[in-house]
Amino acid sequence: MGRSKSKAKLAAKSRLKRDIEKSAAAKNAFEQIRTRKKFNVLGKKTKGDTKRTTQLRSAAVEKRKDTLLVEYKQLRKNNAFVDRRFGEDDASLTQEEKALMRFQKQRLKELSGSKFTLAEEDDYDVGEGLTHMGQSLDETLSRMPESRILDDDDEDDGTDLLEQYNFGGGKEEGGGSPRHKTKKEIMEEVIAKSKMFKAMKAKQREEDLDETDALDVAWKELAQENLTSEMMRPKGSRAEEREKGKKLISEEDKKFDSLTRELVFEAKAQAGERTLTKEELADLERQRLEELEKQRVHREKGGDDLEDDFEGISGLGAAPTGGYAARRARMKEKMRQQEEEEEEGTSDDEDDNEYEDGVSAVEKRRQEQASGNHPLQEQFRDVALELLKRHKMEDTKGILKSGSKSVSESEDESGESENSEEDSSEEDEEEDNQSDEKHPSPKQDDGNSEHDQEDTLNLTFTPALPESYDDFKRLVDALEPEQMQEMISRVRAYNAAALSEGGRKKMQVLYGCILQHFVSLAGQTPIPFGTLDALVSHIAEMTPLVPYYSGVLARSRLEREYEAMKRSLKDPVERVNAWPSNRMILLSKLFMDIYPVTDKRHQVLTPLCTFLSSALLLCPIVEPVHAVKGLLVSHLLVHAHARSGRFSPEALCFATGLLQCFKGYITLEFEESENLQWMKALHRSQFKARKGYNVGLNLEDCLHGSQDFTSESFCNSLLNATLELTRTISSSVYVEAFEELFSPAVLLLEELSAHASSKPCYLDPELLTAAQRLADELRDKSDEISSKRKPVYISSISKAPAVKQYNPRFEESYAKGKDYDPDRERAEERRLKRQIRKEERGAIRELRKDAVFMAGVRDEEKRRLQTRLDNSAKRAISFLQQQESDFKSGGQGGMWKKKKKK
Amino acid sequence: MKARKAIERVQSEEEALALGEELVNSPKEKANNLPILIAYIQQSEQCIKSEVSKLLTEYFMQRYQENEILVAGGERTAGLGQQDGNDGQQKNDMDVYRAWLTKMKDSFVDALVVMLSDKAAGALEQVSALACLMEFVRGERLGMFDHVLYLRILQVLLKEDGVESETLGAIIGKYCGYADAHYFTCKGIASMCTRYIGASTNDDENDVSADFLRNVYDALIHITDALDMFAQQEEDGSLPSWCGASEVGILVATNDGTTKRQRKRLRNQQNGSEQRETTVSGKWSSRKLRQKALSTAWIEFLKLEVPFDCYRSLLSRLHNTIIPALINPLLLSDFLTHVLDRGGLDGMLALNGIFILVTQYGLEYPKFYERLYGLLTPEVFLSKHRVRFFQLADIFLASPMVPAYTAAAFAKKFARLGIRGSSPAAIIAIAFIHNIIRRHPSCIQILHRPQPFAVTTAEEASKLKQKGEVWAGKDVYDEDEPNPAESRALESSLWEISVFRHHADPSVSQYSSVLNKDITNKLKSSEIDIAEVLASASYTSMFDREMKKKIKSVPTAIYSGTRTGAPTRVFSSGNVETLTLPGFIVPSST
Repeated sequence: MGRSKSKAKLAAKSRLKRDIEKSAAAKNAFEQIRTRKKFNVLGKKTKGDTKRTTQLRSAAVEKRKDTLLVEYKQLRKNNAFVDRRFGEDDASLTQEEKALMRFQKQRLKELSGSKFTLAEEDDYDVGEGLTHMGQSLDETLSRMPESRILDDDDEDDGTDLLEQYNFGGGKEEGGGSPRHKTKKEIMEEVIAKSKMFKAMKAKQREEDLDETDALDVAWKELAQENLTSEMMRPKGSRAEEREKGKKLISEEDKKFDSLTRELVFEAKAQAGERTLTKEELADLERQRLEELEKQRVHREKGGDDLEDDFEGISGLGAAPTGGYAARRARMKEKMRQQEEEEEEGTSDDEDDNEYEDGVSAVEKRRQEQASGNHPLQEQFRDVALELLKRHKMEDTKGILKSGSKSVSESEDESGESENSEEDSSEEDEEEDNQSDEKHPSPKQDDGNSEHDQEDTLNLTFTPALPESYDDFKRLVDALEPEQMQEMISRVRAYNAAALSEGGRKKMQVLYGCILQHFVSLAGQTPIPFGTLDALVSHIAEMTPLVPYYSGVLARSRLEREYEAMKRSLKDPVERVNAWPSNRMILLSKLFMDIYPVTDKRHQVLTPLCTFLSSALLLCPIVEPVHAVKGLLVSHLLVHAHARSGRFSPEALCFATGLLQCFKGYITLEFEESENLQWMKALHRSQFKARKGYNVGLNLEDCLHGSQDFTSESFCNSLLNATLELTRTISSSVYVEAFEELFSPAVLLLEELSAHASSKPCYLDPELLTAAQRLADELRDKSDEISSKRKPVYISSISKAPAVKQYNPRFEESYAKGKDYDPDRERAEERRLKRQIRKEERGAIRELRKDAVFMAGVRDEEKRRLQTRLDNSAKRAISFLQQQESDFKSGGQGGMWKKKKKK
Repeated sequence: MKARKAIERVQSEEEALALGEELVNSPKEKANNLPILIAYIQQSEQCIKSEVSKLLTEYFMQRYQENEILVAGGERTAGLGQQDGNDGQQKNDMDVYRAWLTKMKDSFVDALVVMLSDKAAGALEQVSALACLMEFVRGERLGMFDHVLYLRILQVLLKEDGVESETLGAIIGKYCGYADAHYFTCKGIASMCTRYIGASTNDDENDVSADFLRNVYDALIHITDALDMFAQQEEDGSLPSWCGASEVGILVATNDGTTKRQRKRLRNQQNGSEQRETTVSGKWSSRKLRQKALSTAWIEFLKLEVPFDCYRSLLSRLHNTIIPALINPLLLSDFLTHVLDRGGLDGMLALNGIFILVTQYGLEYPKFYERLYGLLTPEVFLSKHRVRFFQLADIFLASPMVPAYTAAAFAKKFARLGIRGSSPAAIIAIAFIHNIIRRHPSCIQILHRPQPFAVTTAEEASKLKQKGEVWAGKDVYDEDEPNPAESRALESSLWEISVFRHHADPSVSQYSSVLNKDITNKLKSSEIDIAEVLASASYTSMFDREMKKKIKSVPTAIYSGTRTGAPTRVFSSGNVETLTLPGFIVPSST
C-alpha cells in the first residue's frame, strides 16, 4: 500500500513539474509573479531563492482535479462500464477500420486455439506427473504397503492416515483454513468460559465445607472419649528425653555448654573498689606524711619501742591504719597478685589457693582467660600497674595534675593571680638586685622554726607552704640537690592544691618561688647544675597546674630581657654585652621543656624564639664566649622548631657566619677584618697532632667563663661544635629549597677543607676532613631533594584537567537546529518524531486544502443543480404564466386586447 | 707717624662711645677721634666693640653720602687726577683729607674682618661686625654692591675656624635672602671650591677642612631653597636686593634676551643721554644667571670630598631640592656614580638621583638595574635605614620598563636573601616577590609552572626532564652573576617559598600565603604597600606584637602522667625527645 502510495506521489510530483512547465509555457500573467527573498534570516533554511506562489497554487488545484476530483466523481459508484472494444476509445479510427480490426483479432484468436484444448498424445511427458512433496505420486503409491491402504478396520489409523495424506483433510474447521471468528462467536466463547470457572469454584467451596464439617464431627467424638491423652507428653518428660539424646551430643557441644555456664559467673563478677578521686588521693598522701612525721618525731625523741613499726614503715613505705589505707593495701595486694599472675603465665595454682578453696575447674579456666591478651584486659592491667607504681612512688611524686577544681574557686583566683604575679615580679626584681647572697630577714614563722632546727639529713615530712620567696629560700637553701627535690615534693604533697580552700593560689605562690629560685641559681657563677636539675622536674610538673600564671611570669621575664637587650644594642659601648645571659639561656631551655615546642604559635615560646633569633643576628661576636652562646642559642632554636618541621634561618645564618670566621682564621684574614677581632683572642700556633683535641666544648666551663679560650684545643672544639650545629640543622630540615639554603655553607666547608693539607695548618686537619665529609653529606642530601622536586606551582591557579568523557558534552562548532545529543538512539527518535510532526502538519494542511477544494466542487455542483432547477422552475412557471395569459387573453397568446395598439 | 704715636688708648667702652658720639655729631672737627676709635676696634683685648663699630659705620656712611671717601678702583685715581688739575691748595687739602679718610675706612674694614673670625669676640660681636661690613658692601652708592669686599667676607666666614655658627647663620639666613648677595655667594663658593680642587690635586696640602665643606654645604642648601623664592618675587616685581637697586627701580636686567651687540648699542645710547648714573645693571638680576651661578657652585662643591655626615642629608635632598635647582643636572651623574660604589643606603639614594636623571632629564644609564641589583645584600636588611632603602627599591621596581627577566632575577634575589636572613627580611622579601610578580605577569612562571603532562612512567619522567633543567629540579639561577639579565632567573622556579612556608616564625609562614593566591589576576589581588610591611618588619615590632596579644590560656607540655617523661635536667644528652647538644660536653648529673 505504502509503496504504491509513494509511487503515486512520485508520479504526482512529476506531473506537477510538468504542469508547472506547461503553465509557464501558457504564460498566465499572474503566475509570473514570484516572491524574492530580501535578506537572509539566520538559522532559516530555504530551498532556492524564488518562489512562484500563484503558479504553485494553480498547480496544486490542477493536481487535485486529477486525483481528488476523479475519486469524488467515482464516489459511491460500484461499477462502471468500460468499453473495451477495439478501437472504440480511439476517435481517430473510422467505423470501417474499427470493424476490420475487430475481424482481424477474431481470426487470430481462432487460429491460436483455445486455452483448454488438450495436447496431442505425442506430447505426453513423463516428467510432468503428479507429485507430492517433491516426489512422484506414482512412486509413493507403489511403495506403500498394500495392507495399509486396504485395511480400513482400525479407525484411528485411518484418521491418522487421512490427516497425513490430506493435509489434515480439511476435516476440522480450524485446522486447514483458519477462518476468522466473528465477534459474536468470540464473545460467546468468553462468556462460556467464565461461566465454567464460576461453576468450578462453587463446586470446590462446597467440597471444602463438607470436609471441615466431617473433621469437626470426628474431633468432637475424640474429645468426648478422651482419646487424645495418649498423644500428649507429661510434664518433665523433656529432660528424660534429653538424657537420652545426650549420648548423641558431641564434645563440641559440651564445650559450648560449659562456656555458657561460665558466662553466668562472668556476669556476677564482683565490682572492684572505686577509683579514688584526686582529692582523696591527695588526702591519703597527706595522712601518710603526717603519720610518717609523727613517727619521725617520735624516733627523734628516742622512742625505741616502736622499732618494729619503723621496720614496717621503711619496708612497705606506710603501714595502712586508716580505712582508706586499709582498703588501699588490699587493693595493692590484689594488684601485686595480678601482676605475678601475669608474670608467671597461665597456670598458677598458688594463686588459686589464696582464693576460695575447692574452686571449680571452670573458675580456673576463667582466670586463665583473664590473663589473656585482650586489649581491654591489657588496658586494665596498665592502669593497675600505674596505680601500683604511683602508690610506691607517691612520696616523691605527689598528686596528679589537678583539673578538678570547682569553677567558682578558679574564678575567684583568676583575679588574684594578677596580684600575685605582680608580687612575684617585684620579688624577681629584688632578687636581681641582690647578686650576692643576701641573707634573708630573720622572720620567725611557726611552721619554719621547726625546720630551721632540722639537720639536713633528717627532713620534716610535713613542711608548711612557704608564703614568700624568702621563706622558700630559707627552707631549701642549705639542702643538697636531692634533699631539696625531696623537700619540694613533700611541700607539694602535704599542701596539695586539692585539699584546702584557695589551694590553687598557694600553688601559684609555690610555683613562683621555685621559678624564682631557678632564676637566681641560674644567675650564679658557677652554675649549680645539680640544683637546677632538681628544680626542673618540679617546675615541669607544676606548670600544668598553674598554666596561666606560669605564662604570665614567663612573658614578663621575657619582656624585661628583650628590653635589656634592645637597650644594650643601641648603646655603642654596651653593645658587646648584648648577648643573652647564661640565666636567660638556661631559662629558655626550661621554657622549651615546660611548654609545647610543637605549637605553631605559643604565648611564651613564640616571643622567646623571636628574642633568641634577634639575639643571634643582631648581637655582635666580640669575645669567644659569644660564639659559644650563639651556638647554644642556635641549638635551642633548632630544638624548638625541628620537631614540627619548621626551619629557623637565623640558626643557619649563625652557623654559616661562624664558618666564615673560621675561614678568616685559617686564611689569616682576621688580622684586618673588623668582624673577626674576637679570633685574635684564640690561641694561634701551628697545629700539632695531639690527642683530645677534638673534644666537645665543656658547657659548664664555657658558661662560667672558666674555659681557657686561649687553650689550644678550644679553637678546634669550637669548630667541631660549629660543624655539629650545621649537621643538626641540616638533619632537621627537609624543604625543597635545601640546595639554595645550604649552598653558602657547603662552599665554606669545602674552602675550609681545602686548607687541610696546607702548611702551616692552624686547625686540626682531621676536623677539616670532617668538614669535607659534612659538605659531602649536605651535597648528597641537596641533590637528593633537588632531584625529587618539581617546579613550584600555585594550586589555586592551575585547574584540574577536565575528565575525558566517552560522549563529549559540548561541540566545538555548534550549529543551531542540529541535534547534539550524545545518545544516538535518542537523537534518532527525536528526529523521527519531528518528522512525524512535520508530516502530520503537512497532511493536515493538505486535507484542509482538499476540503476547500471539495467544498468548491460541491458548491459548483449545487450551484449547477440549483440553476438547473431554477431554469426548469422558470420554464414551468413561464409555461404556466403563458397558459394563464392565454387563458386570460382568451387564446390570444397573451396579447391583450386593450393593450393592442389601435 | 706722629699722630699715631700720640693716640691715647681708650680703655673703656664709655669713653669710646663718647668719642664716637662726638665724631658723628661733628665729623670734621673731631676727625681726630677716628684713629683712636679704630685703634680701639683693632685692639685684641676683650671688650665690647659693637656699639663703637656701629657708630663708626654710621660715620663712614655719612662720609660716603657726602662723597668724602674715594670710591673703588679706577675712580679713585681718576678723581685724584681731575682734582689735581682743577683747584689749588684747598682742594689739595681736601684730597689729603679724603685719602686719609679712605685709609681710615680701609683699616676699619680690615679690623672688622678680623673681628669676624675672632673667636674671643663672641657671636654677638661677630654678628654686629658682619652687619657693619654689610653696610660697607652697599654703602658706596645706591645700587652698588661691593662684591670684592663681600667675597672677602664670605671667604673669612666659610674658612676661618673662629667664626661662630650664629655669624654664619646670619649671613646665610639674612643676607642670602637678597638676590645680589645670593648671587655673589654662589660665585664666591664656586671660585673657592675651584681653587681647592686645584690645590688638592697639585700639592698634598690638606687644605680642605671638613668644617669649610660643612659650612659650604649648609650655605648651599640654604641658598638653593632661596632660589625658588626669588623666582616668585621676581614675578611679583619685588626682587629683594641688598644694594637697593631693584627697590628703587634703577635696575636694568643684564641678559633679558638681548645679544651682546644690542646691549652694547644700548649702553652707548644710554651713555649719550647721560643716564649712566641712574641705572645699574647687575648679573644677579637675571634669573638664568643666578641659577647658573648656583649650579656651578654645586657642581664645583661636589667635586670635593664631601664629609661623611653631609652625604646622607645631601643625598636625601638631592631629588627634591638640588636637582630641580640646577641648570644641567646631568653634571651630577659623575658624582652619583661615584657615590653608588659605596653601596648601602648611600648607594640607594644616589641611585634615586640617577633614577630622576634618567626619567626626567634623559640621562642614559643602561646599568641602572644592574646597580640596583648589586645593592641588594644581606646587610641592608639589618641596616638602620632599611625603610628608606626598600621604599626606593620599590619605586624603582615599579617601573614598567623593567624587562621580565630582570624582574624575575630581582624576585629570585629577594627570595635568596629572605631565606638566609632574619625573619623580618623574609617578610620584606615576600612582599617584594609578590609585587614584582604582580607587576610582571610573565614572571608568574617562576612561581607557577604546572606540569605539562601527567608523569606516571619512567619514560614520561625522562621526557619531562628534557623540557628543561627546571624539571629536573635544578636551579639554574646564578646568584653571583652581577647582571640580572643574565642570571637565568626566568628559567628557574621559586623553590625558596617552601622555606617561607616552613619558617620558624609563625608570622612569616602566615604571611607567605599571599603568594598562594592568583597574583596575576589584577582584579583579585592588590599590590602590597611596602611602607606598611617595612613598618612591621622588625624584630622589635614582631616581639611587641606577640607580647601585646592578650593571653587567655597557656598550653603546657604534657608529660604522660608519670614522671618518666618529664624532664629531670636542664641539659641532658642522649635523650632523643629532649635537646641534644652535639659538640658540647654536658655536665653530668651529680
